[in-house]
Amino acid sequence: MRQKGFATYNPIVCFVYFAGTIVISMLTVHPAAAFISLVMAAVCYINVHGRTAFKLIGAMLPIFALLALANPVFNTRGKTVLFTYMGGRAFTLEALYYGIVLAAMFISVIIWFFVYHEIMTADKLLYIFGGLAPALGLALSMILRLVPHYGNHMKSISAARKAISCDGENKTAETANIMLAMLSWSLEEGIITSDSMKCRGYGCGKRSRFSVYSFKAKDVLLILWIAALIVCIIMCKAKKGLEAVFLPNINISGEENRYFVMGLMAMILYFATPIVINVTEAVKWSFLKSGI
Amino acid sequence: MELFEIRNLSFCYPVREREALTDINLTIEQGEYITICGKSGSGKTTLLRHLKPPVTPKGKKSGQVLFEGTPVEALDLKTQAAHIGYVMQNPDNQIVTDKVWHELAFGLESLGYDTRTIRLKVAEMASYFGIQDWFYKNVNELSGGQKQLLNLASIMAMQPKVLICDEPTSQLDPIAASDFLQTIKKINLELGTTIIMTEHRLEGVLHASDRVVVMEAGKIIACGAPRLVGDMLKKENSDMAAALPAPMRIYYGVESSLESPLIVGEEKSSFGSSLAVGEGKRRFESPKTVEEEKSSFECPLTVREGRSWLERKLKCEGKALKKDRLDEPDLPEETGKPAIYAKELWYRYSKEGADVLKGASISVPKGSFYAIVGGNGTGKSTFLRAICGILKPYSGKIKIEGTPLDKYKKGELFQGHLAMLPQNPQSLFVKKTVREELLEMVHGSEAEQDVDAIAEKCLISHLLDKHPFDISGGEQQRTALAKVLLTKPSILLMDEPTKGMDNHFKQSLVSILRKLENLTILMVSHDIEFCAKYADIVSMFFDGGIITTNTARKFFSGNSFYTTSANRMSRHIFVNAVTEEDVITLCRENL
Repeated sequence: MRQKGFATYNPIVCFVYFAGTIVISMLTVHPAAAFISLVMAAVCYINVHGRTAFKLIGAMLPIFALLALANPVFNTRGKTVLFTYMGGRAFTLEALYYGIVLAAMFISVIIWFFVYHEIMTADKLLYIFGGLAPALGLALSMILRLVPHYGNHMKSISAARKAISCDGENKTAETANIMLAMLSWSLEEGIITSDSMKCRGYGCGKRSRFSVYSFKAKDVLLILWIAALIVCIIMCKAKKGLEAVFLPNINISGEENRYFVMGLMAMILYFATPIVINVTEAVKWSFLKSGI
Repeated sequence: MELFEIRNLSFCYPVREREALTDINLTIEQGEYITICGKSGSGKTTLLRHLKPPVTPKGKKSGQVLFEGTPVEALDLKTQAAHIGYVMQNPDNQIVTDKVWHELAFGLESLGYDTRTIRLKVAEMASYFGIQDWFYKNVNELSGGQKQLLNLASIMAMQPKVLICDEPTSQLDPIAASDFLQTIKKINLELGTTIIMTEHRLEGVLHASDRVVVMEAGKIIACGAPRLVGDMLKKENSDMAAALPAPMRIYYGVESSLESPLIVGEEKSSFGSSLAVGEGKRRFESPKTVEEEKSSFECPLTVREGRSWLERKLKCEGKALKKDRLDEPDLPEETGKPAIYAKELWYRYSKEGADVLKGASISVPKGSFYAIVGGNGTGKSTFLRAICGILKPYSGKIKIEGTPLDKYKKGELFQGHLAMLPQNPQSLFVKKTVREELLEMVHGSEAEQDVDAIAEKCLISHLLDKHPFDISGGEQQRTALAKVLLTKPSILLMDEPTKGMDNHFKQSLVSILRKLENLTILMVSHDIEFCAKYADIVSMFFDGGIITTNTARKFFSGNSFYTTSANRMSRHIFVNAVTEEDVITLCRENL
């Protein structure tokens, strides 16, 4: 699959971005912030995944409701009692409100992880962490090749055995047969692969590491942009612009606090970054196309 | 300059009595293109492996192999990795990493180059080999031909002085194989890289080679320019003559003063002639020698040369030929129930995917040898798997011996009716010895006798106690066949049965199949020559269906590209000569 837009940035930049996103979403307990994170995560996921994204988002709704309603059941603090049940146990408005915010945070982090998964493919992770442990990096790369390779051979063994009616009545024995066959076949394959590695100089000295990714001007710009926004958000948090207390009284910083406005703006810009990049690219393309 | 010098090399594998290599002397010059040929087990691979230290087998060795004057064992790891490239037979298991670009860089990473150098070299290789389009792909998405090209490119990225290829095209279809060989030739001509290659399909390599080395039982029995070697093989009536390209075989068949037709597997005489020994020391010189040889040996190497030779030979301008066609039977009228009948099969692998079978129909008469030919990825193998019910078409009818496929109870179909020999014989092996492998198929008191009988029929009696992975490709194929035949099928489906086999093994496969009476065979194959020689009916598969069906002779004489080289060589003179024997017979009648 050809990647485009945000996914074409250097994996390290993308990784920093997602790390920032998830940390910000988890540490900011504020209704406006949670709401923005949730909406942006959903939009971003739809943007990168396409139409089938709604399946996941739909599946998140009941979890959201469950989490939101569960909080007041376990937590009875709060001033405004909505109703009592089971002999006087209170169900309070503040706890419900808190539950909704927590649920929004939780779900937004989950969706962000899905976006992350969509963009950070295995080879990008390999690029980032392969440097820390080169041998591990190579092993991972080999494993990523072997998994589909073994899968295919396993399928061909079971099809071949079926076509000579060897698949038998005993399922367990048949599975054992196939696994044994896979074992000797994979050892055989392994010998040749290791020969091929030695033929190409594996183990003749210190290995260097090559990757198709490099830092380009746009990566530097993006990382500066991300850094600026993170600094801004941290500052606003430090100035108590993104504080919210739910229990027992609801006390949420609002637009009267200028650090709240600033922090919120920074968060919107931060979360919207991949969407803006993808959409601008798409729009540019359609203009270029109509120009041709 | 001498690149390799092999001096008195002998080698014996541990716990074997017979030497795998006996007293090999060979000098290989810088920039030469050398083809080493010989039957399976003649020691070709063992010889090649002695040129590359990491893959040199352990055993008793005497003599020396020098690379640019240094014994190969004394080369340091980096030099040998960078300067001696080695491409192996199987495209799949040489690949190490998961991405095409990573695979290209693997060798350079091992040698410790920095990122900028690697980027440049990888870019160069990707452009030279035309890999840009699949540069970012996962390796498991590639076709066999692409994989082998990737293996070649990732070795060429290290800029070796010599490229050693061990039957690199044996697992590829003919089109991918010829692409691969073209690339090798291009590397030799444009970069001056020395090429040392073993091949059993000499068709594609002989005209490109400067020298051909013929091996038999661990010895070099002939060495010299292609025409010279062909001549010697013919004179000595060697087994290896069967591996020569069709134009050469036709030439010798027609010219030979011995009036015997060319029969493969004939009693061979031992080589020990002074000519062979003398030729072993022949040096590669200027192209002048080749010119000289052309005048003394007019033997054609390629179809083009074959066509003009045939024309000169028969002087057919103006003069009519006595006979320009062979009698041919028509496609037999269909009588009785066909063994396999399929009508309008439609199949696709996934809901969103494209149709692979688009209304494919077939009717295979009882007792016939039916072959389906066609390009890669046209759905031939899918069709075969649909017929035996491993894949379920979403529309269409299949009848096996007159009974609809779904009327067979579970397991009943594959007991005595249908059996399939898979493309990769290794996917049938699950036991520790060949004997256990065969015993798995039979039950009851007569199991042992059954196994012995089939082993004898399939020429594997001497292998019964070996591990199925320890025997050669052709022997594995025969073991798989024996295992399949133990289900006593009346219909045998075969998927690419000749893949990776040399002519000798093909011959023994045919002789086994001929011994089985009343067996209907449906085969899918890329091997045009094989189909032309042995099949009764041939069909062309294209775009998810069968396009045309005819008897083998009519089918191939009707095609102009997708046909045998004997036919391409003679079609301007003879109407329907398809195999070499046809051309030879017609030539003799006209001379």
